[in-house]
Amino acid sequence: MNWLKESLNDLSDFTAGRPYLGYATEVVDTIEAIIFAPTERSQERPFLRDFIDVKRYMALVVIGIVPATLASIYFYGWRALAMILVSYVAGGIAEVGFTLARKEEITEGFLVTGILFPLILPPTTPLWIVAVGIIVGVILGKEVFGGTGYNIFNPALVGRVFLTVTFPVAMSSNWVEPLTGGWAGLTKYGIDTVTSATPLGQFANEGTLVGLKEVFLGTIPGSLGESSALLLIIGGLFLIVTKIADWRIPLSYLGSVMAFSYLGTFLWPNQVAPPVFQLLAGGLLFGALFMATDPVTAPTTKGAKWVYGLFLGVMTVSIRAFSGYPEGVMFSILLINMFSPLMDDMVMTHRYGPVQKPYK
Amino acid sequence: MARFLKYKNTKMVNIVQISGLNLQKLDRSKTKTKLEKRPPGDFVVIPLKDGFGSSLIPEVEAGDRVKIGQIIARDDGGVSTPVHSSVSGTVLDVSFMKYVHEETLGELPDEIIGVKVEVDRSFWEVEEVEEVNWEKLAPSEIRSSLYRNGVTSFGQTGIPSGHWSSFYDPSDVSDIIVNAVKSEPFTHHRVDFEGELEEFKHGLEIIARGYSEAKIHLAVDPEVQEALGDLSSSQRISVRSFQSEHPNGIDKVLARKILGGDQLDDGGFLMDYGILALDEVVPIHAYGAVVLDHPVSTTRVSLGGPEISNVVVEVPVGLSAGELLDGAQGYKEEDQVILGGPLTGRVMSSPEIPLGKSIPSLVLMKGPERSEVLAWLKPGSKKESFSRAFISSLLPNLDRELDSGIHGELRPCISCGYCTEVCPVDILPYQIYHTGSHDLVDEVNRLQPQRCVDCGLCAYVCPSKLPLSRVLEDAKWNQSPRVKNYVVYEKGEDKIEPSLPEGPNDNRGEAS
Ligand code: SF4
Ligand code: SF4
Repeated sequence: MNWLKESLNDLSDFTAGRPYLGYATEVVDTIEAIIFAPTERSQERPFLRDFIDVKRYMALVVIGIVPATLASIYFYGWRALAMILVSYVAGGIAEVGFTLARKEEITEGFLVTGILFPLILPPTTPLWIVAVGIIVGVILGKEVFGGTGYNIFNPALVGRVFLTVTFPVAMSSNWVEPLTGGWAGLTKYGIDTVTSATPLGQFANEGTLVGLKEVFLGTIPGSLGESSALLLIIGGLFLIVTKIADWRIPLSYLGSVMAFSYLGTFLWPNQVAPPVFQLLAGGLLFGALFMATDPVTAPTTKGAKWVYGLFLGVMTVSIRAFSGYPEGVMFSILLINMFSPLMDDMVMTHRYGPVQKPYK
Repeated sequence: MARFLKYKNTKMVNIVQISGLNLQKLDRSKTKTKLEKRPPGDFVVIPLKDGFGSSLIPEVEAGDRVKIGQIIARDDGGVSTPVHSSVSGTVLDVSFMKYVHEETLGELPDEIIGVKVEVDRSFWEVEEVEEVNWEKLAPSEIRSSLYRNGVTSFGQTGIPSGHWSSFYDPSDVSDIIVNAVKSEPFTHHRVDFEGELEEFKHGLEIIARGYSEAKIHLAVDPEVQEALGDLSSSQRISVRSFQSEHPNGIDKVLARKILGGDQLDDGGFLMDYGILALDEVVPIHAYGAVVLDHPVSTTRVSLGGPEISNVVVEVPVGLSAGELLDGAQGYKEEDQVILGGPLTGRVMSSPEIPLGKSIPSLVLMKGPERSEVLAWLKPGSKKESFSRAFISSLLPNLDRELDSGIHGELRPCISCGYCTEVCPVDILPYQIYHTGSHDLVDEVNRLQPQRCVDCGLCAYVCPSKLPLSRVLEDAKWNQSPRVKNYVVYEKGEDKIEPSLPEGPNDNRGEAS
């Protein structure tokens, strides 16, 4: 592989500093960084460094979502894969364009956004809408703040909300029954016949509950990746075991949903669905395990993580029960994301007292 | 002489439990370390500031003949400890040289005076001396002997002897911690606990006698515990054993663990709380100084690294690091030489740095050998990580890849929280990084960076490869002098002097 590394190095040297070609340097460097592990040495302490880097970190999140992704192909045909590819390509272009304009290296956070985004869309979403959504998500959700690490909102959710308000029909009424049995979706490109409502939608409109077993296994209409609770839990556990996701957030989020929906079933039995159903149906597990745990937008101190989950739960149950939208995970995560820094700050104030001014 | 600074900063935080990372296990070389002696080469350069204290003005000039053990610099009126010649010979030169800060091991460029002595081998023999019966000596005599013979502490605030070897008074000392815990990989015990056990024990008792009011805590790791057997020979010496988890080997951590949770939370030095922390070699030095009346003229340096065999070398003070490395087995030109341990040390900028008493160990680290292809997608059975992102966490017994590579690219902080999770004193390094990089001084100070014990674990675990160690150190240096827990040296007229924070009248650092 030495020849490849050398030619990449040459290319990078050739383009560096030249008019117009200067932009290519970052791209070449990024490609090199993706293929070859850096051989740089630590020049300051510590001289022993952990092997984990952001690439590995983000790659593991993607691995965590793989089971649910495979399930989406099985349930909805190869079109699911097409949606993911469109999302990676369109979002990638937006990402590269922006980082080049800023003359920075391309960061890995996009690996995650690019796959999470299509998985929270309805299976019938037209591919061009997927492209529009991811571009908006990447630009408005992340790049305007300065890229991965500086963003306040989860970029995938920003894209999703943009689509929800811009294309309400495509986003909320074109649900299809997943294919099951035998090869199911594996022999098909997509489904465009049967239209039905999601379990949460059915509950909101008609007050009927779908069986828990179907919800658990995922043989119910829903967004691409969110249907199978079982596979999401497997992926989520993987993230928790590898310390990529913090267990506190899903635990407190799910616990809070359970607790508040349990209370709610007494107070407003017609609007609030029962706890276990709430837990398994819709995007809750997906949101709690893969969206709310996004380290950049979630709080970082332990105490704040508990509070964060608590508020997420309250918001989710409330939106599901009392708003015009049957599903509330997306809105609640985005809303509470906004308060993450505040929650961290409250923990710090509790621990250290308020900021003292001025030090002379 | 005593200066007590009870600085009321903000809320105190009690550390319930100090966690640690067992990095010693990475060091698979099971061989027992040997203690070797190394004679000087052609010349030595003796730093006139070693251990705690200011840089001294030499009493010798170029051309003078000096004898081993002769005092070549002394200042009884300023905070310092006398410096002795480590060889016999002729003074070649007295000039400024590079040396290191005794605690951080950071470089103090061209500020310290060094005395270059050409070795005359015909003088090499050490005279036989009569042993002193130290049990008959009064505590103050023992302390004078320690001072006279150049026994000093490395870092923190010196050994109070009743002379100007520290800003503190011997009566301020209420607890003495003797630190025989090694928690960083590739650093080794500098005392041969089997061969030198008698000297070590006597040394401890001498120290106990010199500070008759103080309690002595000997902190040991499992390796020393085994060699020591039963050491409860004296009521006043208690042995505490600790796991070899980093950062247990750091004085401030031991102080927190032995003497309670909130030491140093409000800044200052251990001596502000009456705690004197001593390295494991100090009892050996004390034995030599008090019983044999030998000045401390040699220093012990442990040599280690993933590729080289462990050895502890006793060299005359002032032998250059380069000279020691020339003879080291397995040392390669391209290795990075680190003063101190791989997590807390500094890279050695030039092989001319003399090995003074302040340098405990040299660690040789190689760089990553090759550029692995798609390393981030591989299972990584030999990659150690705090996270469990590599399959290595299931294979604890496999050898690990050990090098000084960064293993990733610098990225913005992703707020993963690993740094706070691993921090032994429970502060928030990433917040200090964020606020510090925007110069929000008040915010940084609220986060109490003074509690940081410089263990380097936060920077070790960071996936974004941020230089958190430097960030924390800067945050501390920028703090108000009263909470800082480093000694800062200020350049005086002819020499540099330690500058300790002002006394209780100083309002700096308090809310107004
Ligand atoms: S370990 Fe690094 S990336 Fe993670 S929170 Fe700390 S500073 Fe940020
Ligand atoms: S802030 Fe970093 S260097 Fe300081 S004590 Fe915590 S982990 Fe160690």
